[in-house]
Amino acid sequence: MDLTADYFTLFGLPLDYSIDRTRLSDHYRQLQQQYHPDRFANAPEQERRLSLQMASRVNEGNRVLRDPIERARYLLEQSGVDLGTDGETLRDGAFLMEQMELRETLEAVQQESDPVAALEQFVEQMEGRIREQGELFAALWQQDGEQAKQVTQRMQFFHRLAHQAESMIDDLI
Amino acid sequence: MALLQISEPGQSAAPHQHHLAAGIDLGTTNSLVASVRSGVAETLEDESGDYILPSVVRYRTEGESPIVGEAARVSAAEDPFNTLASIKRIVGKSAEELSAIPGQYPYRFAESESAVPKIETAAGAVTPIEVSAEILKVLQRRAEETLGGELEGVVVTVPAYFDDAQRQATKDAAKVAGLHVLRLLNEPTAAAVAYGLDRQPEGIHAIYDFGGGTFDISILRLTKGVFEVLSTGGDAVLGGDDMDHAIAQWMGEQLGVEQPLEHDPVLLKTLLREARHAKEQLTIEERVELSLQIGDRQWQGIFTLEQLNTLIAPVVQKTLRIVRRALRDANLDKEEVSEVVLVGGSTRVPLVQQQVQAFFGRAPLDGIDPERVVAIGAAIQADILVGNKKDGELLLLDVTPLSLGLEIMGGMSEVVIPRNTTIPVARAQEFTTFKDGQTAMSIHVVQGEREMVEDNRSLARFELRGIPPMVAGAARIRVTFQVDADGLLSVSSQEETSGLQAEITVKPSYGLSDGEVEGMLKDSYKYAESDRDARMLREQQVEAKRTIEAMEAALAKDGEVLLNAEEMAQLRQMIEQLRSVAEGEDARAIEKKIETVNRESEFYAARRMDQSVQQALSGKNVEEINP
Repeated sequence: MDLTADYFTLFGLPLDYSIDRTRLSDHYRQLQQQYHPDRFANAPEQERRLSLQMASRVNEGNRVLRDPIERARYLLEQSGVDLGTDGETLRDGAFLMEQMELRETLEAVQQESDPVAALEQFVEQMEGRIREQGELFAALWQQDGEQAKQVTQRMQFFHRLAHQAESMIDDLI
Repeated sequence: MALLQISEPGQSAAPHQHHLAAGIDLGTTNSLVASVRSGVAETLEDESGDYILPSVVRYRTEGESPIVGEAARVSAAEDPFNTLASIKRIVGKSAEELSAIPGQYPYRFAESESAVPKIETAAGAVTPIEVSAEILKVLQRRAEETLGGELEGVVVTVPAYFDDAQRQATKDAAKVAGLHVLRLLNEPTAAAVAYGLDRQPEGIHAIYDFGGGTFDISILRLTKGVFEVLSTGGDAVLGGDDMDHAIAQWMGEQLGVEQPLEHDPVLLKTLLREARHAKEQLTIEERVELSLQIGDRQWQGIFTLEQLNTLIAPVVQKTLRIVRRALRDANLDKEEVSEVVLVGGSTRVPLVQQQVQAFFGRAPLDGIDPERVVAIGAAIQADILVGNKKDGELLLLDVTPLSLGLEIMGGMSEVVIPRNTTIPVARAQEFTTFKDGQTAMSIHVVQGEREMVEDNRSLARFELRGIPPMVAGAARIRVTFQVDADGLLSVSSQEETSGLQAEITVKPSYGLSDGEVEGMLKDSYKYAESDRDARMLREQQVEAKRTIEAMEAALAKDGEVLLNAEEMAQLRQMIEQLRSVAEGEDARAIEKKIETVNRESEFYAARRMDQSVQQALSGKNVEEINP
């Protein structure tokens, strides 16, 4: 196995944002069946070390390809788009407005009569927004890297809010 | 050209040997050992027919070996300070952490120069690791006597929720006991193995593991022979002990004891024993008659199941909150869970069974004795890992229970590997310098879910020095976290513009150094110097045998395909050299030779790996590619 091969090659998938999840899962299991350190518990030291590296790589690849945001970032990286730092602000007035509104919604949730249910609904709403942006990303990443990068940053923003809502749920129950 | 020997597919050069291996459930209250014999995994009994070994160690005088198990347990009340129970609760904890909550633990802590706490006993000060090692030694002896030979390896189970320090301490304990650990296995996963192999249903399983001192929940998915842990959660200090304490507290009230029970260790131990007994009786009866007589205090009365349920309800509620979070981490609703498995002695309590059933809306599985199921699962896994089964059997993919991160500016914790990430895993994070000309950077590794470093568990601190002076923000420091299949972390860091590297294996800040572990090993043999040398030689010989067998099996399988005649001859020659050195008596020479074989066969290992990925993805096997 070539440890430097990209994740799509590693899992035998075409280089694309839309992925065949079943195929990814099948290949993931096959690769782990081959490489997991449990398969080398009695092997010579060298093979044990290699197996650890490979199984780690397979796990990481599976995580990146499975996650809608990580997959988008990875595709952009692979096609040479500089993602910059996480904190980079978007020059998109309408989106800035939406960000503020969503933050306010999240803060107001605590006053609801059933905050956990409201937070769960909020998380679902964010997941919906991520899916929507994902479809947009799939349609344009090959043509317009800059635009795709902005879409990715939006997804990251929705993800952070969803994560925040989830921690709030943790604190409540 | 030399004629190559080709063996039948599936047949190794060495005749099939049965390797002795065992699974050990090192529990808070009880410990068990199990092994696969004639294809069946079963718990092993001691000479009086008991399979349970109470995890209690009583130290006598210096030089006298401690008493372990039932005999120690029954003497707990008469000799409380030398009789150490529930040691698992403090394994992997620092002296500092324990002193922060005085009175909580019924031990007399000694002054300790190292960060590992020491407990004062009649036989001198002992660490929790050594106490655990005593329990492991008894189980090892039991297994070796029953199986009729030396154990080649063991799988030791740990609560899924154990952090890095607790895992490391458990592995150290096994090392001190002289055991070769094939894998640390999470207890709920072990239970899933014990059930999964029996029936192989595909689907989502929840393993509710409530033991004497720990609670764990794991959500697993079984697909085509692969068990994937989707999420896990728990509390490393929540268990049946907490129920016993609640009952003992109540009993204390009935007896009119006013001061906290912790102030009187003898009374506490006596009441805890009564409490446990009452709790056990109430698993089969609705009410028990209690007659407590302690010193001049006396109380008689009826203790009902209903009263018990009220006392322990908060403990059970706490477990269900943890279950909810694990389900959310796995992105599942409780309706999607197709089977619920109960593990651990505390699941015998009727209220626990009722509440779990009510929560999931389905009757839990309890076909395998909940007290033995973990050891049985561990034995099955040990049997696979030691090489008694062909490949293609079950594979377990476990996760890290707690997030691993680094301290960044402002005392904040930056997560590098989030909780519930499938292991093994390696992940890197880049950092940069904060000041112009900064040449060193201190790296602080923490574990936990909280935002501030001080609220998380500190695992290690190390420094990367010699960074070339640059303007602030120009250096690129890459810190890589590697978590292995045992869930143990190692960290390395590298300054990318200069290639400067620092590597450490994370030993918890307050864990034992390798030197200390070795010191304990020596201590345990100090009465028999020659025994120790013999033991070291024996260990190297076993390691040599393992290496030879592994190499021969590999060569027989694909040596002809992957090596040319010259390479093959060289490797065979090295194996022969190792074999003859291993017959000698020089442990150091054997060790060196093993290293040589490992080093010189590196290229072959890499080729074998390359080949197997192609097979994995094409679904072909060697025979098809090379008819």
